[in-house]
Amino acid sequence: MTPRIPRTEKLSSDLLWYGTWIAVVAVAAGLSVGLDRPLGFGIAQFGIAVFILLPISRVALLLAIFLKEKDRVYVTMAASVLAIIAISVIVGFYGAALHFQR
Amino acid sequence: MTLLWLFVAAFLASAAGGALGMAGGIFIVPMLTLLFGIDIRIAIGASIVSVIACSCASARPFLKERLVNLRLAVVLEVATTLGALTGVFLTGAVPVSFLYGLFAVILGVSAKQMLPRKHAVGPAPAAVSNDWARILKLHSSFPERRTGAEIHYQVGNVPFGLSLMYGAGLVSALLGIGSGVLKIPAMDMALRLPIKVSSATSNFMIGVTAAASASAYFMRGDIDVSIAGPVALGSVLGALTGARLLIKVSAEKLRIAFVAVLLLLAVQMLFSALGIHLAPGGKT
Repeated sequence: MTPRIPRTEKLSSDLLWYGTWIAVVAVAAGLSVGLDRPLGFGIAQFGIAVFILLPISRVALLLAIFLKEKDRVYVTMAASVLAIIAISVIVGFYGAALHFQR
Repeated sequence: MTLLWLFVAAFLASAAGGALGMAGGIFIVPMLTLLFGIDIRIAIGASIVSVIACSCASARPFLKERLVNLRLAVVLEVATTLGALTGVFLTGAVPVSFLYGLFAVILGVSAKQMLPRKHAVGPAPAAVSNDWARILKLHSSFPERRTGAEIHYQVGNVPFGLSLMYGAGLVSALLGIGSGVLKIPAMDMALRLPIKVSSATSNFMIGVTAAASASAYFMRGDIDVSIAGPVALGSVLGALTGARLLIKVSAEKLRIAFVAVLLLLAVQMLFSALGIHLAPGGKT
């Protein structure tokens, strides 16, 4: 292991690595309880949500670091990425009603 | 029982992808639709989660070796997430046969990309305007693995890179793939990055791109936990295994095998687009 890993890299790496294992444990637990039971389904769905939230929280982490460094251009960039994802969530939520019925 | 097979399929897809430094999404959708007979929209939902899982699970070594250009990733993510948002708007509107057709095209393009290249790209032209890259402080360096010496590199045409990334984000959301096959050449051609930096940064970005569309599909109820769950688990283990294979397996042989598989899948998906089903259990 190289001794000089910059802090930003270290923090992002830890967030994604440990987050992945939390999600894996949750999904595996949910599947072993059984998806036909509300508890199992809930835990597995939570695990999937953790997976989806991981890259988003990584952007939030970078935003916090840029804020601390008072790097205005990059604060704007990271905030835009989060804003676009937020719009996507809203579109998904309200789009459910408009979406084709299967 | 199906859970186990889904797990195995995702493991193999992600290990194969990981061995070439990409996510396994490009194999997941054809496998789920052709072998398991799963609805293509549900397959896309599961695949997009798999892409996130692969990206997150394999980020660690790339970050530790400082191969990810974090600033560049954030800049390009603005474009990829915008593309993904456009894709989310379009998914409800485009017919299933179009999705199969587009998938066949992307598989074909990937096969072409995979063919061993005769590294005749030539030196990076100094004429490329580096204004954007300079203002955004994108030029960076990484330590060479053996010697530890810093290798400095410049970032090329940022506006061109951004427009290609928008397209990659759009395709990613529509088909549930990481579209690393589009991102890596974009980074090669437009940004002229060292190959290691391209693949590490691309792998890092696909998670965020996929999260933009995955969160919309999740809210919409298009992510079926009984399929996405085992697929995500298989993908994490597959991505970790693939990263190890990356070092051991002969890259050239692997590439040839890949081209064959991609072309086979492309033909199958093309048949599906035309409404002809060859594989057992294949249904729309």
